[in-house]
Amino acid sequence: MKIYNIKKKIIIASAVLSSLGLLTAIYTFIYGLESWGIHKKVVWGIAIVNFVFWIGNSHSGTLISAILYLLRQEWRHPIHRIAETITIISIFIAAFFPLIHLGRPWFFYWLFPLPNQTSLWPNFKSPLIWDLIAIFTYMFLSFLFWFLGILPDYQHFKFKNPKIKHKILSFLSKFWSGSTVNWVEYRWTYNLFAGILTFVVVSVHSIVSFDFSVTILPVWHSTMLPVYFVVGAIYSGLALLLFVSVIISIEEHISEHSRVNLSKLILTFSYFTLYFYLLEYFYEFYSQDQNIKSLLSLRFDSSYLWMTIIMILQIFILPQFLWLKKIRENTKFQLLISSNVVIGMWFERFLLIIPTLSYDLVVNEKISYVPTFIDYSLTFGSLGFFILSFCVIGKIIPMVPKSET
Amino acid sequence: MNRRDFTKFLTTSSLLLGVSCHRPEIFHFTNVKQEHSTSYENIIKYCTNFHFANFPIGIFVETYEKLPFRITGDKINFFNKGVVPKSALGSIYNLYDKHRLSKPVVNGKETSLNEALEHIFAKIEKNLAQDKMIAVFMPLINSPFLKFKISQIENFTDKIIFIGIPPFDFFSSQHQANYISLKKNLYLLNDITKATTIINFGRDFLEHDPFYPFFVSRLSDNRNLKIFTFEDTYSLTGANSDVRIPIRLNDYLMFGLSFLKKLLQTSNQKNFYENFIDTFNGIELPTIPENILPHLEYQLPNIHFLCNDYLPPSMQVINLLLNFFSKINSPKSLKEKLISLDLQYYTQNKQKLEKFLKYPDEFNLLIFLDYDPYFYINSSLLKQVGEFSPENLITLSLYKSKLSENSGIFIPLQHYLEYWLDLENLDKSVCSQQQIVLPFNTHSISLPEFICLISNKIEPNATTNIYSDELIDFYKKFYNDTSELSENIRNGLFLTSAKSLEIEIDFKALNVQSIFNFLKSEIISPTKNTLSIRIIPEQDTYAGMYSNNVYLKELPSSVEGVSWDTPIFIPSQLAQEKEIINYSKIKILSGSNSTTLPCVVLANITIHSPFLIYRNNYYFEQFFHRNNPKAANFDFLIPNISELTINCEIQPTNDKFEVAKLNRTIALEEISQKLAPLIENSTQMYSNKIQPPGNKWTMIIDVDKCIGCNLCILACQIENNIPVVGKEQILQKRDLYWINVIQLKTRNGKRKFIPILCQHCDYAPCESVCPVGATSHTTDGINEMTYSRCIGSRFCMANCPYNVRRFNFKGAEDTHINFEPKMTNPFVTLRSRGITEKCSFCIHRINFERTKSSLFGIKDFSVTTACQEICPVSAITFGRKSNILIGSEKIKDLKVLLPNLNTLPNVFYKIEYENL
Repeated sequence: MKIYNIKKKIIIASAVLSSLGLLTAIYTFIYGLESWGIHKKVVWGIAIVNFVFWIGNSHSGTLISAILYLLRQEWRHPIHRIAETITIISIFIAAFFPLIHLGRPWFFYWLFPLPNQTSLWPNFKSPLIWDLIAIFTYMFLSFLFWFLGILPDYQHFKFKNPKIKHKILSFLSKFWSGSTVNWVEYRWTYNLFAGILTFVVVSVHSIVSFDFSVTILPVWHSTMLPVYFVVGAIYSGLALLLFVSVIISIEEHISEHSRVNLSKLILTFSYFTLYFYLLEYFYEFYSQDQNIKSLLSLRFDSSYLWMTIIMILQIFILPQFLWLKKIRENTKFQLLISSNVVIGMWFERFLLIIPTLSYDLVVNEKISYVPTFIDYSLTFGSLGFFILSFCVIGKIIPMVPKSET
Repeated sequence: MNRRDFTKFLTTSSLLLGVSCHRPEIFHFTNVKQEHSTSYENIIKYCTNFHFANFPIGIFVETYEKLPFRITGDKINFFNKGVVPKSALGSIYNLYDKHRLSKPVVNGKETSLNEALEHIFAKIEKNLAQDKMIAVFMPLINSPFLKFKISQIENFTDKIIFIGIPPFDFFSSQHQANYISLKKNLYLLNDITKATTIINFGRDFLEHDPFYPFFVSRLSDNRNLKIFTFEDTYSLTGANSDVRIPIRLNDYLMFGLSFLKKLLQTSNQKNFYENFIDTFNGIELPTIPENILPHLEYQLPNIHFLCNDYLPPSMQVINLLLNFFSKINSPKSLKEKLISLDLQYYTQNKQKLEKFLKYPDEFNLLIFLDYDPYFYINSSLLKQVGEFSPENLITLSLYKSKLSENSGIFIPLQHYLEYWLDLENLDKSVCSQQQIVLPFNTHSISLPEFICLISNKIEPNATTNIYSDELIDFYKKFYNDTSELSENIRNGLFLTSAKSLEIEIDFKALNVQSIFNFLKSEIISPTKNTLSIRIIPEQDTYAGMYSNNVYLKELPSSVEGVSWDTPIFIPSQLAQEKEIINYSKIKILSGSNSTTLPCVVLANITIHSPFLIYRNNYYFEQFFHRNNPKAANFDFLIPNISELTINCEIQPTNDKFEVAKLNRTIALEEISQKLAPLIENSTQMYSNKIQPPGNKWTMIIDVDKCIGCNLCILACQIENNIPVVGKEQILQKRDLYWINVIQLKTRNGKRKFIPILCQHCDYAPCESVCPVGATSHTTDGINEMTYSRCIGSRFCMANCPYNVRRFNFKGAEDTHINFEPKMTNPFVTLRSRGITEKCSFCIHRINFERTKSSLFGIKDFSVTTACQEICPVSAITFGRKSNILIGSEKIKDLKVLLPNLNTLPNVFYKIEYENL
């Protein structure tokens, strides 16, 4: 009863947040970007931070389901559907941000190579077009993969309306009878998808990082950025996955083994991320580039210092407690650390994107950026939407696969 | 099926799906399209003259039928030689301003023009019958026709007197000085074309100066000039000076005297020197800075002394003597530098004004013709006018004002581009102020027409002609050949040939001893320790008369880059003493009056000299804060004395004030990195056979020449329909200027100004990242922007290292404050919401010239950009790369911005590090 009440409150809160986000999105669409905190120098605000953040979160799903599947890690079974659902929702949210951040979002279809009478094509040299292709590919494939994964479980779908339930189940029964032939074909297809997705998952975030690394701005213009982005993405995705798994394990059975393994992975990736974070400073030291120097020093500037300290605490220092077995196996600590890592990774994205944009290369001057209410409500709205849609999907589809446990 | 058919097929299918590309930008043009065809054939260039501080300056107005859209300087005009002040450039806005278009008001009720005029004539007749005097105030206009018309009235009745006073009464102290020393009505204007050194006593001749076009045009002729400035403020001239010496207001006289002493010592005038020593015995004079001394010794005949017009007469006398004694051994050069101005006309008016001020009871009716004592900083006049009842006040002005609201009758006046007038030049030649457009408002009347009407009404024999016909009839008397007249009118009506500009003054007759005695009596007053604020009237808006002009209000001030506000500048020492925080509001107390003003703390001024660039914002407050009637009262800041200072007390307040600043400074150590020669290691990215690389459009900006007047910003804004965004948007860092001027403080305190615009890079970082290809490269090297294709991803802005791209957060119509009509230039589209924009190298001008040259079969053509056209010192050069960069050696001397990024910019900067 108690849990039920909390759940209800969370759902109501997330519904309020997501509707707030939706309203502000509509407001932005109608009245333009005037209400955002962006200006002539910081032209990409926290909408792009959110975009990179949610794309990153979506990465855990494929990692767990595809890469770990190929590596035959059995502990992935109880959590892979959660991971894939996170992927689907996150990528939808992520795709929404660049769309609403356009000056004229009603012309977003000009990004597609639509044939037209004036022979106008998108500029294939632009990383935004690569982004578009990568994101849509990833979205499509993840959806198929997710769909493939839930096929054996279709009998366990929980629809309230019997008519809809009957229609959907009878439609799905044509695909899946549970026979041996079915299973053989299923394994084969799953293998293939896992193979493709492993490639896609690495490429997608690399391509997202190209948005930044192909520019000529210092700090962004770096070859290590794609790897850094992928590593950071997996890190934040794993943390989000752990967080969701712990919450779901209150009601459903998820083996402790899986969560402990996730914790270990988080610990590992905290080191990977730290390595790249330090590498940025090494580059600064090694190149002795004045611009990189002053730009990186911006992170320790009065306005960003608090964020940098919190970020370092959250994503580099706090996960080190996972070395201790007792903490690693304690659900409360898992919850605490994973949530902190997720928030910390948002800050990390912020610190990567905003200072570089706010830095005027000609006069070496910082032009400050202050997000507005609309910016924040879109950010929290996306969080609300994530929780809400996860709850809705979780209500219909069993989050812990029945067929594999 | 071939490729084309396939595309057609796909297009049709996509149309069926309802997804096709369309061009939304076209609708912006539909309003204009009806009136203007797309050809340039109907453009007419009018040469006209703009009445600027009593001097007609030549301007060209390019119009499209009824719509003027471009103002440039007339290069052959004697006075300004192509230099246009900001007020002339921005005044095109005043023409369109919808607040200007109003109906005449009689006793609080709107009426028609004829009815209002009838009321005025009835009042005049009534007053004449009662034997009472009528005073007509108007700006001093040197017009032969108006003089004739006024003299007709004055011959008929002595009850109507015309008082013409120049703006800010800047002749006052000069006039008194002339009277003391020369006993002549002369105004001496130093022609600085042949000077090698200028020693300047507080004259801001590069900005807040009535003779701005004159001095700047002379300065641009003479770039080897060394300028030494003594000043109690921080002005643009000070920032451009080789040596700037901050002094207090009281010190001017002392420094002037020590210069005089030094000159007398060196110029073999021993008897004068002895006189000087005798007279000023016991008075300690300050020492002349050492870096000026060698100039005084070796280049004496080529030194010119300038003095602020608002300084007391004693300082004007010293300035006169300094110029005299520096040239005494070479009288020829003295003759060359003096330009006379007949002040008889002015003296007459001055006497009439004094009569009015002394015996106001004799007057019963006051008519103000485009003259507002609130804005021309004339406190004594203001005091007398305040005692008149509204019934006896008649106002004719461009805008409704504080005075017009207190007047019984108000009639809207016409803009100077709407009426005919003849003006007499400095050299006694006569030119015309031409009518460029028909009056926008049929209820308005022009100043000369009004005078003409009164004149014809008063004189019973007068023929009631139309004003313009009468004007031409007046000139027909001087011309037998009427064809010559019509040609003159076309050319700008130069009716008589220019007379000699030079005059000779007999300095031998000077009684130097009496002058010295006068000077001594002036300096005896001990230096005051009370705080006084220097008031500097802003020329661009006529101290606020045209502060409704949002273009001029938004334009950042030259040195501090403050936009929209008129802060008071406080010396940092004083700020420390009084605990005043930078960008806070301070309270100014003078007598029983007080007001709060935003303040900016400046380091480089002496402790007792806070200064305020005065702009009465009454109009502005009225129009933009209609719901808030509490407009700040600035009236007590209008000083009583001609030196324009007010004694006051300053108190800090806790209120913070957000100052919208647009200037950016670059550190001296970094300049050699940021502006460096091009790294020549890369091949042409856009090497194609149609256009060789030499054909690329290139701009060279001479930083050593640039004086930082910000005119290019304004010209660009008007040329390219860049909206005025307002203070709030600037505070949010969302200004839309295509040109930014950044500053560099050099070691000797001089400032350099570097205009930054789109660099039109060969390897443009913005082009490759645009997802829809809205920004691309033309074959002649221009980085062009296709507004209708832009979807506003702002990737180009993020990737531009120069920060020159701007984003339209709102559409131009919504952004622009008080924008009517939609555009100032019909050949540039208005940008809609959500797209980026930037400098286009005036691509519409290039396209026009290209079309024109191809029609006439000319292979090569030249183009001037708006910023180049307006630059008063010709710091900007624009043309084909092969034409303006002859030989590869020249490129090596030129610098580009951020060369290490390898963007290969096509904007080059000329700057010599040795000078810094």
